[in-house]
Amino acid sequence: MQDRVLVISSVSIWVYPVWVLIALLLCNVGVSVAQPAGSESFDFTIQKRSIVGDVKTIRVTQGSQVVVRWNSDEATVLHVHGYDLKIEVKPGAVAEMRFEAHATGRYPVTSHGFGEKSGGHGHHGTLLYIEIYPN
Amino acid sequence: MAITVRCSTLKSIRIDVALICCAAAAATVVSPAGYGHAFGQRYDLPLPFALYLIGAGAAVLLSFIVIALLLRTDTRAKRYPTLDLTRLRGLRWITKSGIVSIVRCASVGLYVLVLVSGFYGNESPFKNLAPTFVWVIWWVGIVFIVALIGNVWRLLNPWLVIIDWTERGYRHLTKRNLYVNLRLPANTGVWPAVILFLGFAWMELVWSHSDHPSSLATVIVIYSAFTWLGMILFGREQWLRRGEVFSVVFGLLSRFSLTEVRVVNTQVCQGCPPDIRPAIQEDCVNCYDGFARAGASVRQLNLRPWAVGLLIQKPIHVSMMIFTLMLLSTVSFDGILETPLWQGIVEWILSAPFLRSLLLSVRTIGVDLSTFIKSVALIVVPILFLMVYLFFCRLMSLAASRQSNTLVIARLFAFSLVPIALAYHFAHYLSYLLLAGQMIIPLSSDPLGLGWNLFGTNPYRLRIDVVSARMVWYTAVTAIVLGHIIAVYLAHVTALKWFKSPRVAFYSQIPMLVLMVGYTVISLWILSQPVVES
Repeated sequence: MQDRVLVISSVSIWVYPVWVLIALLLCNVGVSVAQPAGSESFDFTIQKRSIVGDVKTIRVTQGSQVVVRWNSDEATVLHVHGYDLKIEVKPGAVAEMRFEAHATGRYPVTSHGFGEKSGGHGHHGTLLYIEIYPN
Repeated sequence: MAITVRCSTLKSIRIDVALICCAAAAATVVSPAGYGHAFGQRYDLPLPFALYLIGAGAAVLLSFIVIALLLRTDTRAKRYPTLDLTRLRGLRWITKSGIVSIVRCASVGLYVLVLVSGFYGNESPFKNLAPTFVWVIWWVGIVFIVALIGNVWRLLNPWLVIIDWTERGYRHLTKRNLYVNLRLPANTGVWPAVILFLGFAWMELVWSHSDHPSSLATVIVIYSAFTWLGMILFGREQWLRRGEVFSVVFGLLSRFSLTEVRVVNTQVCQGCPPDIRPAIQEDCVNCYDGFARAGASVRQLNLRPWAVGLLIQKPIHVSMMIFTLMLLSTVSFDGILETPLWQGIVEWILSAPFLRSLLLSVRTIGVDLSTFIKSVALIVVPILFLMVYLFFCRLMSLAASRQSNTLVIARLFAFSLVPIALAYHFAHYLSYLLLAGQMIIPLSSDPLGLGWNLFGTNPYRLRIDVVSARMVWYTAVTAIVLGHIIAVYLAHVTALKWFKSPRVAFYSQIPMLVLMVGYTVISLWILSQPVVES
């Protein structure tokens, strides 16, 4: 009997923090943030296959409306990973992408083929990272 | 005579199979996906600097509290508390062989499905079951289950199940033993597994075709043939304990877990060679072969506290120490490969004038430079890790007034570092499992990527909001701090049992504490770095 109490108490000491963590995790699954955090807009120009001004990361708050306008000297297809957004950018025209930053994380924006049409996943390196922080 | 004939027949069959598969693989179109890490995207936000500092501070503070509490512990050898699950009436069904057979059949079925998907399915890694199943569900997922719950790999191992069936069928047909049971040298330890693990780590971290379905399937077939050959030549249990790399990895990690399999009578395990005998006191723990042979009255399936399986009475074999350190260093290396620091190192190497000629000659042979640099790093990092570890073990030996030499100390304390690596693995991969793991949902309806929809889950839109950044951060820091204090606890208890004098044990642990704090801080640092793809 003594042994059993000992086992249960020693196991629970280890188990308790994990249960707290799991409970916290489960509370957060599927919860969507309701507060609209305003709108954030960015303009980028791509020259020679990289962004002018050497910007590598942009930071926005969760829940905000993000607007990104693109300008490029070569035709390309840009892909925002995670959100799975694709936008075609042609030289001379401004392409605009809009999305609601509903999920936090660090999402790469890659280009799928400069100058030629390219489907599939042959991405040519990351142009930009969009970091969405919790509010 | 008969034995050699059998060997060469089997060998030639195996070689033929391997060659056919290699030819099939070579005939397929190759398209590298270019991901640094094995497979799958990760979208983790870097750990905020404040949390990084809080984590590091908590690790240090709690270490001192753990040590202070342990200073008053009774150092006499005492067994950790266990609860035998088979004695509980409600859980008797676990050991019923029906359930076990179903699970083993299902595992073999999945193994075959992965091979079929790999060879005959769609070539795109995202539309084929094989890469997601192997790298996300199996390699990451099974580590979680094995480390937290118990060594389920012993039940699920498809190579073990298939050879077991083959052996029974063979014995039934020819009345002879399938296993040749050649004797391995006395001090072999787990060196075969060490070498194979290096190969596996290379495939996971460096090889650009690791997510290409048919290449992956080919490697699985080659490994299967090699494993079965090893089992037939050296005996099933001997090979599983020394050469089947996943049994060795999962066996090591399952020392942390909540469950164990125990035989209360050491006679059963006396036949176990000393270089791989589980270094535990009176009973035989996690010796599955012994468990299978023992009578019901001495068998136990025990619930136990976490991490106590990593406590050992005697120093482990050198090869096992090397294996453990390699596992730990590849876990950290995996994280380092995604940091800006690594990117900087690669850029520096590529532009260094004194390396130019070497890199040029590598390129002219036809080897990709990124692969070359990563392969070299894969060998250098574990060596560095080992050197740092041995340096601290030397300090520990000096602090303990040289009661034991450096190598004995190194072999004694290697296991106590495992919780830090496990905590980092948990922190680093939790969101990965929840995100990339979702791919199994559409892939279960269409494993070969041919447009099927067996369960109606294809197409499926990946939910990226399944876990928020805050939860990932807090879970990560908590896991790492917990892993750290468990490691400090393990090292201290091991020292108390080994050195007999509490004062000597305490002094010996000061260098160990510095090493562990350093290791934990590095793990936290990796998590605080933004993820960059090379």
